[in-house]
Parts: sequence; structure tokens; C-alpha cells
Amino acid sequence: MRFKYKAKGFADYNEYSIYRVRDIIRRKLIRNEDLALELNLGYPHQYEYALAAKKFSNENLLNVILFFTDSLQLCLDRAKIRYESGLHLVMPETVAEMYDNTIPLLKANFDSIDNLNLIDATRRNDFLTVATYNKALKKLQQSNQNPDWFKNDLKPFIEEYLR
Amino acid sequence: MIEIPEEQLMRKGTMTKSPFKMTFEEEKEWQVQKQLEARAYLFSIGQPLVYKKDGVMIAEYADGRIVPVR
Repeated sequence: MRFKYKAKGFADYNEYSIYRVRDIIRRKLIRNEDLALELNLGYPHQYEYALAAKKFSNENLLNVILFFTDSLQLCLDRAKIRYESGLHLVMPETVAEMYDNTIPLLKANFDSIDNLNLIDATRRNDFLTVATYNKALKKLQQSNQNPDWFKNDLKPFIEEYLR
Repeated sequence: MIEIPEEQLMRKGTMTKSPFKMTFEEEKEWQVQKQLEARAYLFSIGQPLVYKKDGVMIAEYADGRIVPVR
């Protein structure tokens, strides 16, 4: 969204797009409409959009579909090729920082998540769901995919959480 | 400055069922469909699809070219 405002010549496109996102979300919440946000979950402020929406009503559910990979290099390659193919640049340091933050931030915000679908985004033409988690049912359901980021990190965390 | 209308900033989704309520078969079908849509979308904006195949990172382009990334 911020690139659309940048293209329109808004000098404060970063701040303005944040304001606009919050305003659109708020109006949807007032109308009690479902909404989905497509965003990176590599910085705390990115969780804030989702957490603020959930807090708007006790009945709101936060369902997260997280795409992740064991390969930081894949993220760096995708960002580099996207830039070379004419879209925006995300600096490698930023990609690495968001990559490193993703799982710790998911854990830090785990209490707010009602449903979680974990997807491994490394290959294609595969069934990519690694696991699904349902807070109300206290259930973690796993497929036969077992990437390290799940096996060594999130899986023990969620199992401990459910204990 | 002219404000951008909401419909240009948000897309109306096409899903009719939550993936959290899908059966295994429905979820598999949903993922295959979404992968095809993502591929078509990337090609439509001049971007390749980058993924790992047989241990090698490749970029697949709309014109059929498949180029190793490194």
C-alpha cells in the first residue's frame, strides 16, 4: 500500500499508509465484517494491526496462516529477484532481521492466536501444511512435513504450551 | 493529494470456506488452486516464481525459462 501512496506523490507515504490501514480495519470492525491482512510478521508493529483488530471485540478470532521456510537464502533470493524484475527493494539486512524475528514473535504472541496454519513455502506442487493448531480444542495436528523450523522450535514450544 | 479509494487498496477475497474448517482433501485442493493462482499472478506482473527443486533454487519465468538462481 505504501508504494501506491509513494507513486501518488505522498511525501509522508510511510506514515500515511499506516494511518490508512488502521482506518480501513477500524471501519470493517465497526461493520462487523471478516477481514484478512497479508503482511510480514517479522516486526512487532506488524502484529499490532492484527492484535488491535482482535481486541476490538471479545468475540473476534485471530486466525494466522504463516508461510515460513528453513532457507533464509530463499527469502534473500526472492527479494533480490523481485527487485531485479522491477518491484521494490528490501535490503538483505531487513530480510534477515525479519526472518530471525518471525518464530520468536509468533511465540511471543501465541496467546492471542485462535487458529494457526503453518505452511512450508520452500517447494511447489506439494501439500505444504506442516501443522494446524486450534486453541479452543487445545489441539496440534501435524502432517508428515517436518521442516527444522517446526520440528526443533515451534513444535516443542506448542507442545509445552498445551501441557 | 487525491485519496486512493478503498477498493483499490483492499481486495475482495474469493474463499467460501475457512481453511481451518476444511477436510484434508479440501485443504489439499485449496493449496493446489492457490499455488496456480499465485503463479499466474506473479507472471502477470512480470515476476518469476522462485522455489527449490531437486535441491536447486530456481526462478521460473512466464515465457517458460527456468534459470538457476545461484
